[in-house]
Amino acid sequence: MKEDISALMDGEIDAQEMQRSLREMRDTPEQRDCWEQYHIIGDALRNNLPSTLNRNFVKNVSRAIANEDLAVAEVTMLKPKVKRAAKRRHPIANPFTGFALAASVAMVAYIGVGMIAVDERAGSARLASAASIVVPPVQQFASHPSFQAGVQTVQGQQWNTSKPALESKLNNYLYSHRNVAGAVRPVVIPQARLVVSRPINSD
Amino acid sequence: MVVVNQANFKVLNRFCTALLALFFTVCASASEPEPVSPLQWLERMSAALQQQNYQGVFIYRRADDLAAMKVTHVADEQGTREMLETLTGEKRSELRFTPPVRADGSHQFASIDHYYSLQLLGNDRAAGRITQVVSVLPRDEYRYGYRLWLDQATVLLLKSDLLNQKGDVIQQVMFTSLELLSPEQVADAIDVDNSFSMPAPVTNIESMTPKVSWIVENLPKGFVLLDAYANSPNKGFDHSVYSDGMASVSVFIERTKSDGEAFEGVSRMGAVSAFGNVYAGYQITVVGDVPEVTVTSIGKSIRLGDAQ
Repeated sequence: MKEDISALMDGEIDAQEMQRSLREMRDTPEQRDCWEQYHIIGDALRNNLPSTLNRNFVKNVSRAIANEDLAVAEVTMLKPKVKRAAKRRHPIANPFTGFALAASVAMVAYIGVGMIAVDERAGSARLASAASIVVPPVQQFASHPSFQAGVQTVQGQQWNTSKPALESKLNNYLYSHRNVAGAVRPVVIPQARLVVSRPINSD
Repeated sequence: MVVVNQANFKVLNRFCTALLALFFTVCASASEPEPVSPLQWLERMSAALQQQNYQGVFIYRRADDLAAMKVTHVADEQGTREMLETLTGEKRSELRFTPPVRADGSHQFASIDHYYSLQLLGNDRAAGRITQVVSVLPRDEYRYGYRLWLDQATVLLLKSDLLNQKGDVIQQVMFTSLELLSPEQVADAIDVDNSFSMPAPVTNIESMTPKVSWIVENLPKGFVLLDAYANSPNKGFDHSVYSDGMASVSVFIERTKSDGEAFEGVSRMGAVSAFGNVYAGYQITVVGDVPEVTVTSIGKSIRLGDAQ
């Protein structure tokens, strides 16, 4: 079902499937939550998160879905029916909008919500997590700077620059470098990857 | 006619069991011979990461900084999962997934001795275990040197020194304890939602490179393009990874932003070097665990290729 939700977000399903997906989402709180989480992650990945996230916006969308007249949805579905398999984009070719991939990364959704819950309390856009465990967004997600605002260096490690923005950017790049370099070949010095990591436990 | 009573059967049974054990031991020895050359030790070390399950504590030292971490490493057919937890300073942890090594991974060290001088330095102890020390020294200025302490039994890396051109140690990692995990312990070691699936790495670079192609005119010898990750045009960045088998370098290319400050020049963090350059409306950033000269050489020589 999560794949259906992501396909729905991408507009990659036909009218009949859309109707079925919306009906299931309306009837299942868990799926509505999933829809909500994917939207938050989508915004985070596209660097569209406002400085203070108004979760009511997403909730309102969810509520609208819950009350949606499915007949209207069917009528307003203007997109031609497209074979999903044919239209499905390669997740890495366009990794930050291809949410069929995100659908399989259930834990990433969990992370996104965890981070934003902290943001709300702190009243800032800083990404930090109250979650006890995080699955890092490997490769596609990890290599996107907007998803890595929480990357920091291990204690004592600093770039020799006095510009915080540059330091943050270099941390993001280094984080991407570690993830991808480690994923495409055996890592000779695995522990050397630890120079940067994401903050996870805040307790 | 041979009559086997119960007592004789037990003896025969034990004999057969012993024979089978001997047979499998011999087979195992034949399939995994004791490494004899430095190159074989490196190859076995790389393979061990894909096979061994362990948990341990190690310390990381650079200059005056010292940090301790706990690592839990689980390897199976889905790749490896590694849980890292800081034991000093801010409490942080991280779970990393690495997909199974591709078939071409076995050639990682194919020409490594062209660019590094390899030598066995004898035995030493680390984390209470007997290790073989392997020296990997660069033959030019474009890479660091390494001293690696490899567990004699498991070939896991228990200690490593990173050396600069003068031979000074600039970074150390050392396990203080290491425990191999049994299958029962592995099941509980890292509690991960099984629904998480790893995407496959990109192999078809051409199809992933949108509109603009890039050429590194001055890529130091020995470095080859391992993989490239392209983002949608004008939205994110392209990411290419180069490696010489030991060290790796990433090149990031993105459109310059009017509101962002350009990064030009060199920056360092310990053994990690970064070089930034603005070229043809693009911000080019090169990052890697290599000397400054390597990232600078790459970053200054990136040119636009033919449009796709």
